[in-house]
Formats: sequence, structure tokens, C-alpha cells
Amino acid sequence: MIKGSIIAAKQPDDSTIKKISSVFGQIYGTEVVFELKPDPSLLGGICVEIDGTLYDGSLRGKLGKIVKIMKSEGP
Amino acid sequence: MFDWKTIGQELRGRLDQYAPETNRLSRSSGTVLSIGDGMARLDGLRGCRLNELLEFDGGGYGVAMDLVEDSVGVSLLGDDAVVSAGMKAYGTGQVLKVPVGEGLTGRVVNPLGLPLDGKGRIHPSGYRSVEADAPGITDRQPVNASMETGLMIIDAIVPIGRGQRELIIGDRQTGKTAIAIDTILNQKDKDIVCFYVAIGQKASGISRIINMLEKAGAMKYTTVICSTAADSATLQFIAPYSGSAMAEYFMYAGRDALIVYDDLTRHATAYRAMSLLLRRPPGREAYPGDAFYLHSRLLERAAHLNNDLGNGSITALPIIETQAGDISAYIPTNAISITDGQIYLETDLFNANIRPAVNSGLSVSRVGGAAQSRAMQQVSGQLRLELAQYREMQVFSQFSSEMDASTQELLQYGNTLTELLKQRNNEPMEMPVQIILLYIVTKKLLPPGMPREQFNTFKEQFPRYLLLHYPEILRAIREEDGLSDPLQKQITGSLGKWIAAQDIGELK
Repeated sequence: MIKGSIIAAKQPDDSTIKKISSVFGQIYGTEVVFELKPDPSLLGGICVEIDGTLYDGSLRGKLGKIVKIMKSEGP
Repeated sequence: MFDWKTIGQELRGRLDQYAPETNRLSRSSGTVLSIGDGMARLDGLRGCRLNELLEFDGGGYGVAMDLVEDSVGVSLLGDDAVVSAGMKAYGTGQVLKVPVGEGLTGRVVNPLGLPLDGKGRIHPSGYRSVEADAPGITDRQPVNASMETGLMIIDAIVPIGRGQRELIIGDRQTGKTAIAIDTILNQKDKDIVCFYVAIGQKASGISRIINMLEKAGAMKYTTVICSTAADSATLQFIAPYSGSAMAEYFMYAGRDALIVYDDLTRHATAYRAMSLLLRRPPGREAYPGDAFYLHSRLLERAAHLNNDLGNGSITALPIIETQAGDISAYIPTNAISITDGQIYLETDLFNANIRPAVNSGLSVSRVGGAAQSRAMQQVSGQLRLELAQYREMQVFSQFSSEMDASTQELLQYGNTLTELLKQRNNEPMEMPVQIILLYIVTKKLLPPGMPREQFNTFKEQFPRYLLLHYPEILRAIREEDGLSDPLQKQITGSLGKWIAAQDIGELK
């Protein structure tokens, strides 16, 4: 059994949390217990952090990637 | 104000092209356990690779240098202040890369490729990893083309070839940087791209060097990679590898590059600081166990590629500073065994006004004649031996006042040779001029017993006289292979005319 955290701007509902648990339970092969961490700076979406790996599904993360791509192209 | 329509269209256009290369949603993440002195210890970061570039939440970057079972040691690139304990950091999945390409030429950059000269953004042709594998054995061919430094004593006695690594070693203030800079200045119009990597020097010194290069027009083909003494140990550590990556762009494009590492002693000191902070066990002189590998992997990247790979080359001039002339200390002995020869500068010679203060007995070039033109080989072949004989006799001259004629002749000849090999700073000498002067002196064509001032006048004015009245001789030396008999006669003839015009005696 491993621990992980769900970081979200808005508190996800119970069915969403259950879905996340089962998916990651399959990926990691063991039961995953999540703690919930609110973080409004995410702007939207969810981040899941398990055992030193971060799954970034947040709006802030996506915007950051776009900024990076725009910075690296052209003048 | 803002044209929202156009901005909106731009954004939509860019978003349409937006195809993230890493569609993966996940990256390794960790938390800063401790931070201090430019090193941080991180928890987590599963799957982190060695030398992986890490990004901190606060915007800073670092390199994962130490992978231990339960933590990662990271050296920070840049200011520690942006990182704090408890902060999150993420793996980028990539190693450290620097911008490379023609856009770097003429610029002054820091070891990460960021501009320091205020001349605007760098427009790179691409990016190369800072750490890279050296060319393999079958990728190379022997060094066979000469790298002219413009300094007669080096081009004649310890000639450097393209693709060679020649160490410049000596105490402080013996003219090590001067030799490197003069070599860069001499590469004008020679289609060699130059790189000067300043490691841990004072900013005022680097600024003086850049001014010198600009005044001489050398910045047109030179890039300066600058890590001052105020920069973190990590930046100083990376600087030479960044420079090498930038030079490799040209080497693999079939061109010749010259890179100066000034100096590797400070580089080793910075690496020692990093290793001790990473709690790696100290070895000899407190350097870490891989102090040799530190420099060997850097210098092996300078090579001469074979024709299949484009025949490009990187010539490396690493500089090492010794303490009290001790070339048997740890870092100097490492460097001497890695490089293809050394130019050994001595304080005593420098103080006796013999500059460049090259000790011709201890200096060696393991490439040697293969890098010299036939003409230069013809005139300089005996030089090293003759200088050694002169030095032997010099000892005796201090004791006995009565010497036989042949010893006196030898001493006089040695004095003349020494005088000939002296050269002023920032005054590189073209190869044909060197060859002619060496020919005249080694064949003893000048009137004997010429006073020193007269000889210096000859050294200064005769090349100008040739350029004015006999430019075909200079051209012939460049174009022909070796000094043919008619060419030798021409040289002797022109000398005779010059002497007659000076009215200083007869040609021997």
C-alpha cells in the first residue's frame, strides 16, 4: 500500500477520487491511499503525486508548457 | 492599446501547431531537504538520471550530481536564493544543453549560453549536450595541418597542429594567457573559429582581454565563455564543457576550431569545492577521486576527425598554473599526461626579459614536425639541439674568462638565437617571415659580432623591407614546398641588398 496526494484547485467529488484510486491502483499494482491537498494556484484540473512522480493534469501546468514552447520559438 | 484580434489569431495559430513533444503527463518530482553553498539535497525524484537537468518550483535550475539510495544531491546553476527548503523540484528528462552555432561567434556568454555582452538574444543553430562522448578511435586521423601561433619560438620548436592538445603551463604572471591570446589574434583570415573559456578569473581581467580582442578585430571569429570568480562553483565547473560543446558544432561541420581553457587549475578547484560539498571522499590534495577524469574527458573531445566525418578539428590549449614551478603536483601531472605536449614557461626567463619565457628544454610537442611545413622543418630542425648546447656552455662562461674560439662562437650564436626568439606581446609573426629570419640566423649569414641593437633593428626592419621590395619571396615560401636552392639564393641576395643599404658591414 502506498501513499499519494491529490492536489486540486477545487475539491474533487467522491466518485472522481474513487476513479483516480482505482486507475493508479492498477498502474502501481497495490492499493493507493490519497490525501487531498487544496491548491488554488493550479487554476483548474488535478495533479496527482505518488512516490516521487508527479502527474500534472493542471491548467497551470498546461499553460506553463505553452509559455515554454512560445519562448523557444523565434524572436 | 492592444490589438486583441491579432493577438487572438496569433494565439489560435500557435495553439493549432501546438504538439507537445512530451505528451506524457508525468515527471519525477522531489522536495528540497536542505540547501546551502550552491548544493541542495532532494527527497523523491524517482527515476532521476545522473546529470539530469532539474527545474525548481521557484524558477531555478540544477544538475543532479549525486544519486544516493534515499536522496539526490543537486548542484544549482545560478543563484541559491531562488531555492528554499521544502520547495518542489521536477525532473526535465534531459541533460544540460547549451546553444551552439554561428550565432555564438562574436558574443560573450556565460557557461549556460546566456549573453553577457548586452548585444541581444543569441540565435542558435541548435543545442548540444554539455557532456558528450569524445570521437572514437576510428573517427579520427593523425594531426597533419599546422596551427600557427605567430610566436616564433613555439612555431619553430614546439609546433602545434590542428587537433592537438598542447598544455601551457607555468607560474603566475609568466605569460600563459598572453600566448593563448596571441594565438587567437594570429588566426585572423585563417578560417579557424576561436573560443576563449575564462574559468574563475577576475572580471576586470576578462574585460581587458575582451577589449584586446575587439581592438584587434578578433571578436569577429571568437566566442568568449565567461565564468568569473564570483560565479558559483557549478558554473565554473561547467564552463569548459560548454565551450567544448560549442566548438564541437564546428568540428562536426567540417571546420577547424581553437579553444583555450584559462585555466584548468581553477576548474579543478571549483570541482573540488563541489565534490567536498557533495560529501564525496577527498583524495590527494583533497581533490576527488575523479580529478583525472574531469580533465581527460574534456580534452579528449579535441581531435582531428577523419575525412568521412568532414576533416574538422578542435585544437585545445589548456592552461595550468603551477605553484613555485612545481610541475609534479597532482593537477599539473594529470594535465601533462593527458595532453600531446607542453609549453613550459619559467619565471626566471620572464624576469630576465626573455619573453615568451619558454623553456625550450622542457617544452615539447608530441606532434612536432608533422604539423610543420617542409620549409619550417628545414630551418628549425637543429634549433632545439643548438639551444641545448648553448645552455650547456653558458654555465662555463660564468666561470672562466678565457675560452677558445669555438666556444666563444657558440656563445655568440646562442645569444643571437635567444635574441631572435624574443617577441613582443600582440605582435604575431607570419610564417614566411619566421622562416626567413630563422634561415638567415641559422645559416649565420649576418656579419659576426653584430651588437644587440643592430640585430633588433634587423629583426624589425628586414621583414618590412622584404614586403616592400621582394614580396615574391614571401609568396614563394607560402606556396612552394620547402626552401629550394634558387629560393635560398633569393633570400641571401635580398639580405645582401638590405645590408648594403644599411652600411653595417659585409655579408659573410
